[in-house]
Amino acid sequence: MNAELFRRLLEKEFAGERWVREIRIRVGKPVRILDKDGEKLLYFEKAGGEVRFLWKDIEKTATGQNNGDVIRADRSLINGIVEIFSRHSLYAYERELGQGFLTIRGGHRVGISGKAVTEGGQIRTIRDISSLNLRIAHEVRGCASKLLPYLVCDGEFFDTLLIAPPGAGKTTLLRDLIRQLSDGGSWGDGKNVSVVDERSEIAACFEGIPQCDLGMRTDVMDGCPKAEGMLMMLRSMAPQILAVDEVGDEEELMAMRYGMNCGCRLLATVHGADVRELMKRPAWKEILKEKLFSRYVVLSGVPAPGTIREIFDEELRPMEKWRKTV
Amino acid sequence: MKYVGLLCMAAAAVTGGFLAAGEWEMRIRLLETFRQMMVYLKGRILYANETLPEALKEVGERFSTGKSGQEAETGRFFLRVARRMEEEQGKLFSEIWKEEMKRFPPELPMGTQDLAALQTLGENLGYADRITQERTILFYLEQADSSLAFLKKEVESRTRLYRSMGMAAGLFILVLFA
Repeated sequence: MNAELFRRLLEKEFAGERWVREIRIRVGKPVRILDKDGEKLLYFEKAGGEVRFLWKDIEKTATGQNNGDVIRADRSLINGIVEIFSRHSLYAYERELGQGFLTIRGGHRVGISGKAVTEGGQIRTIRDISSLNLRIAHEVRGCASKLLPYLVCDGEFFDTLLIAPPGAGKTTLLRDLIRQLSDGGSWGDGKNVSVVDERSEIAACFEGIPQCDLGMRTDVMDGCPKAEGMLMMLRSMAPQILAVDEVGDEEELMAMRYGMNCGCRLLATVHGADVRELMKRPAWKEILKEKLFSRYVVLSGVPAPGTIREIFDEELRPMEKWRKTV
Repeated sequence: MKYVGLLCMAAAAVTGGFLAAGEWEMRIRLLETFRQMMVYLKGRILYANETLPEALKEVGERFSTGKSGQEAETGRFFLRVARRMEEEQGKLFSEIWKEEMKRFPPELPMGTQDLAALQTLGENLGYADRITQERTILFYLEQADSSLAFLKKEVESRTRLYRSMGMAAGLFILVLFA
């Protein structure tokens, strides 16, 4: 199967009602799709001259070699898909490739693994790509509505950190929080929100225009390293709220701290299972001790992405009011 | 009546000479435009880090707006390639480039060498890293420069030659049949 046919068939599938979360493509292995009901294998069927995809639950089909029509990825399919995703311009994604991913139109992230090419101790690119992991971005309008009352008091937004493992829906929640904070609502007036979108996942900018609705008072710095972007936004856009996804390294934490000391509120996300896990990282431990954030929201991918497990206040006490609603 | 006919034939010969000379001038203009477009394309790729469809669209629009006829053809070519890259994402860039080159109007005055250089550029653009893009475009620019140097050197004498030949042919017709 060539990449163009694969793309067209997938596009057709996406036009439907399916809630795809992830597509995994590995050399020599069947293409696996994760949707809201679980893992599926991808088959294709030629009926009446028309080619179409069939999805079968993984437990209902043998994963063995005898499924003639199961779609197995090969190197040319993977290379073709990467060519399509990079719009035949791999050079334009050098920095992203060095980090092992591409962000494509719509804000979907394509994780890449293969042979890393290093130069001076830095990963320059990845060649002989053997696996792709397409993580489908979703815009769920209103998913932050329940959470917002716990993050705002008298119209003032608290510095908030969303903590979640990969795939638990933190970017989706962040996106909706930004939109609602920007537009305003029953909780208060809208705020000027500046978003530093290093991986183009939050706003999913295409040719400079956000493809996701981030509200009417939102400015986006797209494709910019977070630490520099935060400082730039603070200097140039006078934000009331600064939003960033997946902060982690020292420089980013420093920029975050600087922003908070400039009277700007921060809305950030970080990878982690819970607050205790975060405490194990020295840099984060300091931040937690300093009570830089007033709210910690812990998300889980179980039973479904976007599940809010717990909300903590600045003293790291669980918010009882939230507990009662769950 | 005979003289009117002869005058028409002579005028046609002279015009033919001027047209042939004009074609050489147009060829230079087209090559210069392509050269200029490639410089812009290099800028869009290296400075703005744009993907090929974005860069081609940007440059194509810049060079087709406010122009008409053969002069707009270079910009339109870029725009056609950019549009097809969006529409036919699975197709190789080099194939689209080649196919769109075939859609140049047949009367477009471009030499075989100019077309070959343009095709080579399309075959290598988009491949590998930014440095390779720069080198690919620089290689095209070198070829275009040497073509332009040759054409500019030749154009004066050729223009004079074609115009004189046209006029001589016109006079010859007049002398022969009058």
